[in-house]
Amino acid sequence: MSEYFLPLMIFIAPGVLAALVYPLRRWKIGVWIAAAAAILMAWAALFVLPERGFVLLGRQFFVDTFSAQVWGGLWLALAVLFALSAEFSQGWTFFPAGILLVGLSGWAMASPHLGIAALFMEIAALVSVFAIQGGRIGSVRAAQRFLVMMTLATPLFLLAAWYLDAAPGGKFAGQIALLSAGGFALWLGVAPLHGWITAMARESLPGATVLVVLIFPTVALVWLLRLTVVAPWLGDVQFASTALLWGGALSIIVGGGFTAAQNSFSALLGYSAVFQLGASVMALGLQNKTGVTIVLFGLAVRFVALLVLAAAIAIIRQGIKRDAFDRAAGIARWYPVAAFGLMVGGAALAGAPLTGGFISHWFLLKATAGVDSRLPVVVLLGSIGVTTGYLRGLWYLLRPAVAGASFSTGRYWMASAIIFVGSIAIIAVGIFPQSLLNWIAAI
Amino acid sequence: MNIPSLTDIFSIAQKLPLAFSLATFFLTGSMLLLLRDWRFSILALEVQYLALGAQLAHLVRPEIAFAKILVGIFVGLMLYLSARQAGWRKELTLAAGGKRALGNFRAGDGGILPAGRFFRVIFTLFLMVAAVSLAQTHPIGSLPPSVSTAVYWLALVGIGLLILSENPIKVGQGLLTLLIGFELWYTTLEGSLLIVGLWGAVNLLLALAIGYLGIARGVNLEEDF
Repeated sequence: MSEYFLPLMIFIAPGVLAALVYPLRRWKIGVWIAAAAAILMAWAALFVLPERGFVLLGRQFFVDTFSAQVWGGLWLALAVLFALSAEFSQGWTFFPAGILLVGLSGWAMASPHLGIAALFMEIAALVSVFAIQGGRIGSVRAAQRFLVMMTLATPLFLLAAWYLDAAPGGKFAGQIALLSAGGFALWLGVAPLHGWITAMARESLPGATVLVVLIFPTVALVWLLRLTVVAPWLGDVQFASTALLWGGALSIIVGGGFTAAQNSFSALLGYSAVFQLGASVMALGLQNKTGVTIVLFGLAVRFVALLVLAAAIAIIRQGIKRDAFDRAAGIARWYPVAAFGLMVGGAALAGAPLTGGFISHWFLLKATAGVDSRLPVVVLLGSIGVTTGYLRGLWYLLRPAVAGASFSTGRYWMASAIIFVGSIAIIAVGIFPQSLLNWIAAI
Repeated sequence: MNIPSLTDIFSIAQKLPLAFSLATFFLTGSMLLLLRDWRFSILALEVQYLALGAQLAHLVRPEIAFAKILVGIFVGLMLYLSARQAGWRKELTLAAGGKRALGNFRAGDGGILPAGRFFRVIFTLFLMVAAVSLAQTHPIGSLPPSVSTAVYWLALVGIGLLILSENPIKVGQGLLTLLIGFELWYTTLEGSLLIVGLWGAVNLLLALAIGYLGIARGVNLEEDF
């Protein structure tokens, strides 16, 4: 049997699994089969795939250890979201679409060709539309905005890849930097192109939102890091570092400022994600080892924080049927775990002390101070904005319930377990960051 | 009577001057920008794919050009079925005060021209001038001038539709037009089988996603631009 057979089968498996899950998606058993499939794929990604590859239609695909770990992490996140959807429906299409989406992101990370990766991510974006819309009739703003943004990114990447192929030595460095900067800005939702993240957070269900917000920026960061290795001369382009630093700063300002002014929990999630992604983009602009450490640390924390927030918001939405602050008065007494998860997840994204987010933000403050003294101030202000937004949410949650207000009662064991375990992980990484730092150093 | 082979058909297409395809693009792009009737805009998109095939027949292998046309036919079919499902027929009938709007070429409520048509005509003319100017001042690589103009024109029409429309099917037509313009250029650069295949899949899935969003949005397909 060819050495390529097993890796190729693992990459084809999501398509088969999605087809198997599709007819079962309306039954409870389908949820658990989908979750088991995601765990199986995570195992294959983490333990079978590293440093292996295959050839398809003359193109080489290769899974380095880092990509395999990221892909494994995405599969685990998907399994958690499937488990969450056992208690809170995320729409029937979420199961097959989720499997396909994570599967396609693996193809994008395994391809050494930026253009092919972009095409796989475009197909993933088109599949995501079904999960984002989730069968709702009426407004299609979130799905449509996402579709347009991702589709606009693809030609930019294809041209950048063509320039990369045409002159690997860096003859077209300026063109490649400009084209790929546009594409990555769209994938990452860098302000002012962040509309797809916030629209999705407002309109879509939290599971689908978190999945998409995890996948696209994560693949973008993986590819940005890869470009620093395969095309190191891109760092010599004058505007590259400045664009990353100030593009990140703009996202931090927009994300932080708007989080402080929101009036619903879903909107908090959307804008705080924009803030956190902005911090990662700014860190990439440092173009050194510290920057990479910040990006990877932030990536790991974002995975857990967004899952915790998805579970917390799902409980609150179920409790008050909407997630506006003014409707949530008193809900902390009914669902203290959800209130706790919201605070821990929000604090991690804001970079508050005693959470995992603090470590990466602290590194960012120190590193940017040496580049431009205005940047740490921007980070700090953004962080204060995000903290303010979540504290405002907490204030509403802790207020006495309005007389006659009723909440739907239910015991959400799975969501509570996700919040509990995730929160412990976030705090543990905040207090003992060394284990995560060791993992990053190994990469 | 002998059935013409694919090679015969494409040898005819190759005899068509590039300027003919460019004129077709100008016509179809203007239709997309100016008309509100879905049947005309889907027809315009279909013709656009045929013109793409005809232009590519001059530039790349005929099989690739044929594949593009085939993808275009499926895209058109998907959009047509979606628009039907979403209820444009009912909507147009209602808009025309109970009478069928098809064939009513007068501008106004229920007609095929949208409100704000004067602005749209000016906007279309502006895009035409911009496309021609860009092709002259910034010609694309080694492409013939008429193909450069077509690439700019289609890209501008696509962006124009994205700016002017909210409706998913109309926005989708904008995206597809933008991609057709890009394809006209990119196909001459990249001949990888995997990329050609993935690009075809992207076009088909895009049409599917647009159709799904069009149906999800419901019967309010008509927008007064």
